[in-house]
Amino acid sequence: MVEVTMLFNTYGFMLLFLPVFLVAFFIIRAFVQDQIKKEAALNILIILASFVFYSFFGVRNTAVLCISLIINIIIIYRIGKSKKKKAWLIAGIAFNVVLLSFFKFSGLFFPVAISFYTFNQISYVIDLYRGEIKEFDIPDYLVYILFFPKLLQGPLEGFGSFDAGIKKAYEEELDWEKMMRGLLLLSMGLFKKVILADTFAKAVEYGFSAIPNLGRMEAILTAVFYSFQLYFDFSGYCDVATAICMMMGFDLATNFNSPYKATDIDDFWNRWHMTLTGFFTKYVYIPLGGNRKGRVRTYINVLIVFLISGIWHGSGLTFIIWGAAHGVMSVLTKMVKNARKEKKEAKDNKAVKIFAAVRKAAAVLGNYIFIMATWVFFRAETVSDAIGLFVRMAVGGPKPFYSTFADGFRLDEIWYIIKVTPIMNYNFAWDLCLWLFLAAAVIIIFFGKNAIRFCRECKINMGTTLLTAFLLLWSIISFSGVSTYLYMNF
Amino acid sequence: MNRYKKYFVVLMSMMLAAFIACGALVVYVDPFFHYHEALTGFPYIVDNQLSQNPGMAKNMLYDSCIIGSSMTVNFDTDDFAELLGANTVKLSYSGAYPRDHYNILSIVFDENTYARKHSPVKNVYLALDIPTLTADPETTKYPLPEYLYDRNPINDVKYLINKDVLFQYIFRPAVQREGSDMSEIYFSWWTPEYYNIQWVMHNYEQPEENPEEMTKDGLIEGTEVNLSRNIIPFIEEHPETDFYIFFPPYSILYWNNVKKENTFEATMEQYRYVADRLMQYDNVRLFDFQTMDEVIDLNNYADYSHYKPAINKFMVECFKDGNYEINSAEEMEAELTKVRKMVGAYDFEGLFSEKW
Repeated sequence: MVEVTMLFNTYGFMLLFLPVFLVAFFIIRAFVQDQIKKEAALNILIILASFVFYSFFGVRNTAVLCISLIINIIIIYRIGKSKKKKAWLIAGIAFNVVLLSFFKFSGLFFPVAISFYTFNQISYVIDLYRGEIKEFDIPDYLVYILFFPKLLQGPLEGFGSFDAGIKKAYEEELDWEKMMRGLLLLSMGLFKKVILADTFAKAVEYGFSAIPNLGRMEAILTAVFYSFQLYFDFSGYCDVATAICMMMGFDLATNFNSPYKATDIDDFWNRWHMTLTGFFTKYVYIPLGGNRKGRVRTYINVLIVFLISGIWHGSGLTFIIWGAAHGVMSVLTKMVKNARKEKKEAKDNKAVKIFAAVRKAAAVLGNYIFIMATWVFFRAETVSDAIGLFVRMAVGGPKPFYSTFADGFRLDEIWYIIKVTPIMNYNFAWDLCLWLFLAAAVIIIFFGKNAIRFCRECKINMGTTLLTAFLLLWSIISFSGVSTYLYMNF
Repeated sequence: MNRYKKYFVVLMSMMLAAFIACGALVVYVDPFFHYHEALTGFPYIVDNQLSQNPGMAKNMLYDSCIIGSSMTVNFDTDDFAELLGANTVKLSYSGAYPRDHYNILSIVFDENTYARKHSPVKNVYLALDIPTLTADPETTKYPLPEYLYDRNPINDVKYLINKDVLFQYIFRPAVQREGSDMSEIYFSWWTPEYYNIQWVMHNYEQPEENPEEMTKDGLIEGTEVNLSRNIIPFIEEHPETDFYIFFPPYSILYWNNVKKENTFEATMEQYRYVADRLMQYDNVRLFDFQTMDEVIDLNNYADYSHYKPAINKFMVECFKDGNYEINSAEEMEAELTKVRKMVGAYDFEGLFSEKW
């Protein structure tokens, strides 16, 4: 049997699953008057819908998810009832860590979203033990773990705030303004994923598969494009998840806040995958002692957190190097900040505004270059591949773009327009789409307003309605290409 | 009405209208022939085997078809019309596995299609690639766009609301007014200058030498399963159809690969077995082109296996006059002996000692 995935950027999800789910949600919310019955019905709807959503990833994945749920429910139940609460807490954490590690390192297969739902399980178990969750309620717990908009890639929100948010949504009435704002955000998220991230992905795919042949500019742009691909992919996902919740009537935890505008590594981690940073801070960094045991211990704790983060993101040396690089940079940043703080006390209020602005721009650029360079290790198959890409940046020399590198940017809808203009008389026309995408990405990433904030604050009118329609249509008709393969031999 | 609700209604109306317009256009033109025969006068571009073969098999008018891997892409269907009087459609899948043959033959012989309602299948011209006959019998070479192969109308949305279909297969040909020449669809990209020994040898990589020789019947089990599941059912169920099945003429380098992989005797046995199985059927005409003189001249090839289009034309002539046809086990044995001699006599050392 062919396994059909149910990702956000599929026809099945956008044209069938999501509309049916939302209509059912609004109908139950509007017509069931009794509060207890309404909550129960909405919980059941979300649990069923989420199971259906996840089951499209196949029997193996669903089986692992079910095992995780069953074992955790038993452990959580024991934490609530047993006198040996701490023992059951340790058992709970150990089970989840072992389950995740087993699939990460066994090479068997890697269940979809296991990193995310396992961390949510750990979060729930610890919060229950600590008394932050008042009582164990199976439907609420299942909604928290399974809620499909956040199941695949987070956010890793704690149970308390998530539960409060979704319960608020249960009491809301259908709000057409929120619906339109949500749809605008949904269209932006899809656009980022389908048109931007997936287009950059084609060049990145080529770049990382042909490292020894890359020219200097191709090598540099491969790294830059990968940083853009990751940005738009994750940002797009977060936008769509947030948009669905917005339409339902509540705010999902913010997970992405223009991260490449960060001025240093710590600022970056306060903007990129914010809830993961929150998770590590709450459940790893603070229990290790945080910054309460002196500077050296603080630095060691930071390094430990980033190493765990690297291992969580993927198996292999490249991810450890990536985590370690971020950890070391974070420690260095903290050292410099601490030194400056001491200095600043003596020389306060002497900063000139222009100088501060220039310094901020340089900090953003410098930080971005560091992030971009470390993403190379995140993407490369091996450490030598990653180093190879840097080497090509230095010794690749001036070479025109290989056709495969630039081809992916020539989307028909743009390329056909260029082809009928006099621009085609110039050689640069062939690479124009690539530069247009690069420019658009730079503007959106470094100068654009955060999409979620924009959609919350903008005035909804006919213009935004047209924009929503345009972006949705463009994205949806781009979901399915026509399969082509380069076959020369059999 | 609440103004936000009004915007919502406007948005949904626009989306619905756009989807309907897009879908209606695709259904009307139907560039993959999924719903109906080709429109008269529309310059269809046919260049995607995975997406367009099933539609062509269903909705084109033909009485013969070409099935096979890239060994068949350089056939000119005009030659079949001229020499054999066959109205032929080319349904090649480059790199095809036996399961690919099965999938497309299932559509070709489906009595409910427009094509079959108009004409029975007189001839099937099938290239049988010995190396792929041990492939997994359920696996296709490439993932298929299922929505064009199944009967589920829901997943047709992937075809109906599809930017590539709109732009590359409807707008582009409509503007350029230049469609594909149906007799030459899927022709390989190699232009005549690529067919020379320098190009072949420059790109040829010898496989690693396998020290362990495969047993003589090492390839039979997989071959038997593929023949029984993916090929022979069609031959048995359609005695009214003539199956022209042929072993394509790979170059002498193919035999070098076989020797390096230490499967020479197993491959010979595989040829023998396939021939024996197929010759049991009266509606099969079997051809073995592996002993053509052209095989040892690499100037006829663009790589170790792909021959120039003139050889395709020659094979059509053979289908007509019976050259290289195998009619008995003895004849097949004689062909295999010729191969053995040809491979034994070829100066591989001399070939590889030169710098290309």
